[in-house]
Amino acid sequence: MSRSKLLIIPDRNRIAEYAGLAEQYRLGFEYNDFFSPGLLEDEEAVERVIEEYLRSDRQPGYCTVHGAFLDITIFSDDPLIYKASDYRVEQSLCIAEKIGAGAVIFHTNYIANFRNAEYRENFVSRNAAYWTEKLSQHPGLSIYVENMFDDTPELLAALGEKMKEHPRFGICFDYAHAHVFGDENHIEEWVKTLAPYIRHVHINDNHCKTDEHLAIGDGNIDWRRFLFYREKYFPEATILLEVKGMDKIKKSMEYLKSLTNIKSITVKAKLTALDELGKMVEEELSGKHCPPGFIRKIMVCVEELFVNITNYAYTSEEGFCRVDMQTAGTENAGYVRITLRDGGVPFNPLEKEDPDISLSAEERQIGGLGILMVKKIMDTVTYEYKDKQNVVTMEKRWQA
Amino acid sequence: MEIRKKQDGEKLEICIEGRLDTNSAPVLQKSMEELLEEPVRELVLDMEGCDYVASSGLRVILCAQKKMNSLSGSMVVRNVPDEVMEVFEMTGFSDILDFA
Repeated sequence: MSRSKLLIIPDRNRIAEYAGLAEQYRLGFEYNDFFSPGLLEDEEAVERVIEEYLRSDRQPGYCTVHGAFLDITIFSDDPLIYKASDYRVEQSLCIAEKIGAGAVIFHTNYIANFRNAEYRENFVSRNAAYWTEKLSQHPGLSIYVENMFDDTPELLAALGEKMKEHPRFGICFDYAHAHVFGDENHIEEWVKTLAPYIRHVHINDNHCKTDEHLAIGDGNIDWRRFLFYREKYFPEATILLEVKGMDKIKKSMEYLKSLTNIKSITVKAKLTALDELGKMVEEELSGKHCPPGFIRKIMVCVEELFVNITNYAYTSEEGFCRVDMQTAGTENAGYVRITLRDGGVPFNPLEKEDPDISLSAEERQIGGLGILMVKKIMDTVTYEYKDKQNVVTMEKRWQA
Repeated sequence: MEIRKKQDGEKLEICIEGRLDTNSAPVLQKSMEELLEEPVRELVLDMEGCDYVASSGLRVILCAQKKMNSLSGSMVVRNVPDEVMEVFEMTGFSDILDFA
């Protein structure tokens, strides 16, 4: 997984240890101290906890706060319940501002099996109006609403749709809750329904019965599938590893790492390395259930980009090319992402105009066909010049 | 990649076996040039054993087509595997080549 997008829950009694892990793996923090009603009742204690974190001076670059959640019902018909809920939400948002968080997470908290249409409509419209106001009052924060006891994703998706124009509102998809309170056999429906609105994801493991918050790999959830969904449906979302304690965090990270297959190779930017590269692609994709024709297409794409590097990147001196290949998938579907890097002169191979493929044989030019093939074969191809390197990344998914 | 040839008067048949990639394309290019020095009116390119064509390979095929056009001869490509046909289609080669 992309490390900069992963968050963990820090323990303020062992903050140096957590900050160290965060620095090592470029993790963020999601503060879990501030949803406890006991703490929230004692405003001086809240200030002390915030102070403790700020004093450590080793906060990661990106942090979020889990807001007050149990019993919080901002769409309630009852003015007293609303008032209490609003009070706690406001507390959460102010805490987030003080601690320098980028986003606060709240829960839906509607009663899933109360099938009253008016109740459900009110949930969507009142939430939309409420969060719109809160976002305008707190311009430095994003707000993410998370599925809790939701048995299906529709109501949360309806809220996401209503708020879709607001850049700081999003859905926090709790992948574990969906397995417990939703139907674990219909997770893809959850993912697809919520996908356009997901900005943040909570993950932990369970046996699809109770919300156990186990280390990833200790329950029944299919995490290969999760990685596939993530690549396909919410690649940009931040992810909280929502387990407490260093042991569970490390165990989860190890498990996820074991599922993500990344192979790297560095070769001389010379045509003699072509066979070696082709072999790596073939080996990495064989036995991953993807069709042989798919493998050869990916090999062609790597070849075309690599040949381009041998032709243009290094003019005077000998250079190198590094190829990273990431694969994930199940027997039914998967994806491959390949990045080629060279330290040669800045050159964007995607910039050149595509050749006109409607011309006759006589009029045809011979250049540009390779890059055209790459663009047509792969789902996405991007170029950037970063850290004095040309970086081309391409991705493709397969379905059995 | 291996190249097998069969000459029958002015008809030349070339079978390509293996990968037509950036390293093997110049080999094919060179033997095509040599073979086409002889009077050839009809060129057949058999691709049954070739399931991999990179853009460098396409260039050799395009050169051959241009050469046959200039000789007022014909070129036919046959036994094209599906995945190579896909490459021909995405690059517009399916419109400029004759398939048997």
